[in-house]
Amino acid sequence: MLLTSLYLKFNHLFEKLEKVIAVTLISFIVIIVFAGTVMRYVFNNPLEGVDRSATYAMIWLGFIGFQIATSKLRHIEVEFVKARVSETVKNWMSVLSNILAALFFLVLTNISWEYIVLSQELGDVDLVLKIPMWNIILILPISFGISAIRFLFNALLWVDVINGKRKEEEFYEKKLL
Amino acid sequence: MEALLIIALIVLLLIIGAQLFLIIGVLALSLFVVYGDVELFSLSKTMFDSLNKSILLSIPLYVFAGAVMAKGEIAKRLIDLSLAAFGWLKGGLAIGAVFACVFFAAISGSSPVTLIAIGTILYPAMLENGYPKSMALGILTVSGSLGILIPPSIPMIIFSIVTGADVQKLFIAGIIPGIITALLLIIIALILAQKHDLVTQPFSMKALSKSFTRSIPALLMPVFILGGIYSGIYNVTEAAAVGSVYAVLIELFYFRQMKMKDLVNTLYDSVIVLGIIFIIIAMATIFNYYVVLEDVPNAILESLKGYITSPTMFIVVTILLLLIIGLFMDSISAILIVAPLILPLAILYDIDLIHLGIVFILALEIGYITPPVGVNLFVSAGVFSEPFGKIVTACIPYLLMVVVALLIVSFIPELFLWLF
Repeated sequence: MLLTSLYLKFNHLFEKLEKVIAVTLISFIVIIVFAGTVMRYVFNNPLEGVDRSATYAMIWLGFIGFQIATSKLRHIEVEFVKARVSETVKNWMSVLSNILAALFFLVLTNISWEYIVLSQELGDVDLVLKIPMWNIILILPISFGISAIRFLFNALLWVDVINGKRKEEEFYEKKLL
Repeated sequence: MEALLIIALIVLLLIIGAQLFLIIGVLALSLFVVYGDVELFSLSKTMFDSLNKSILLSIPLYVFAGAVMAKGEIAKRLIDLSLAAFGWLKGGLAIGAVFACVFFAAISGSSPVTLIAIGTILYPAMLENGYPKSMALGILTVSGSLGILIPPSIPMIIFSIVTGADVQKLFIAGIIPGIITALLLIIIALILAQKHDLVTQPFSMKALSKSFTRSIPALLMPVFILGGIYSGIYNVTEAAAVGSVYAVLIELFYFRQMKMKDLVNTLYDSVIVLGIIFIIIAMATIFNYYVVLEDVPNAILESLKGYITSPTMFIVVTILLLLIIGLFMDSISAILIVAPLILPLAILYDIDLIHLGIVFILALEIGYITPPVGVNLFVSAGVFSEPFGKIVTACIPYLLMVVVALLIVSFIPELFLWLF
């Protein structure tokens, strides 16, 4: 209970940081792609590197969006069995699926880290922007690692619900989109 | 033995209601661990490469543009125009709902966004005017699903990435099937409307012209997006950026109803939607990597060649397969997994990729409104606070019309292929 309460407090602050980064990145993408379009078609003066910069920003954005969706329990679930069982069974199912997800992302964190090491050893560089590719790939282990931790705590939060120590509304708001 | 363990693990994940990306990801990872002959880090490389595509940039941009318009004035003004144009007819509100969805779909890439934007405003209006709940729920839920068929469409972007089909052609090809589906929905709505005592509004040319004038900025949006793509001025991603900037500018500085805080929250929500889609793409890509390494598409091709003897039979089998898969899977996952498997067969039978794409999108659109995993059904249940079963029943007559539309566009592709 103490551990999960601390997690919720820390996670709340961390989500704010993620929100700032996410909103900045998506604003950057909208502005840079729009500017690139205007420069190319109106001024006939294409901006070099727009496409690559925006794509890399999108990769970071997509994975940050993934870890936020994990925190907010917004991923699409296959609920046709879950919807037909009692609340307690449903909550135990949530515990189990979150533990499995945490394990899965621990494996992915490990193998994506191996990929980064290999990319550094090979000296992969983006030819247009002249930046080492591992800088971009770094979001994979970061995002998978953060998500593994979040899935683990989500499992603990559901255990709290099962033990009657917490109501799911404290951390779970079912949103439609 | 290993195969049985993998199957048991996947069945367990299905039973406990695991996240869809986890089911796909665990399946892919298990296959590589048990049968694969590659270093596991290559899965990360495959995942990264699949996401390192500039066409994917259009997804957050269309999601964002759609969310801005749903939360701002654009949706409301499109609805006002539809009501002024059709409110005088018996069943006019239902027709207005279809038209509003068509227009909104033309500026948003998503079905649920279309349903929420139009449904939240029109549902109470329809009930006030004597529409039975079943009719209002059915027409709004099914019309909302037009969002993925009428361009811009996120599933079309995914289909083009997987199959190599020209996304601009796919966008243009979606317009006519979208109009056919909308017309069929209008026909059934008009037939059903005759059975009920519905209130109609008096027709007023003054009100219509006023609504039209107020809606011009909203009506210009599809012109900017689709007109720009069709005329070759810009590509699909650039059109999405133009659409996003246009939507923000008119909402902030012309309609002036949206505050900066709303805009920031809309940006944030768009990122979450992108995150949900992104991880599914990443996981499905690893699965496809295995499928390709093991030459599964060619194995399927060899085993089915003897049974599927004509292009028509291929289309029939594809439709049935997609309808079944659409019952359990969202459209993006279904495209990512099924399209690479049947692509060799489509090539063998000389099926135009644009034709195949439209069949995919329309068949999977039906998946949005069929249980147990019909996204629009869940959205409707939440937005309209009605039981899931009631919404499923209400959708049936309209769903049948979408099936008719699917059959028409599947077997008479000339209806839209003449555009190219």
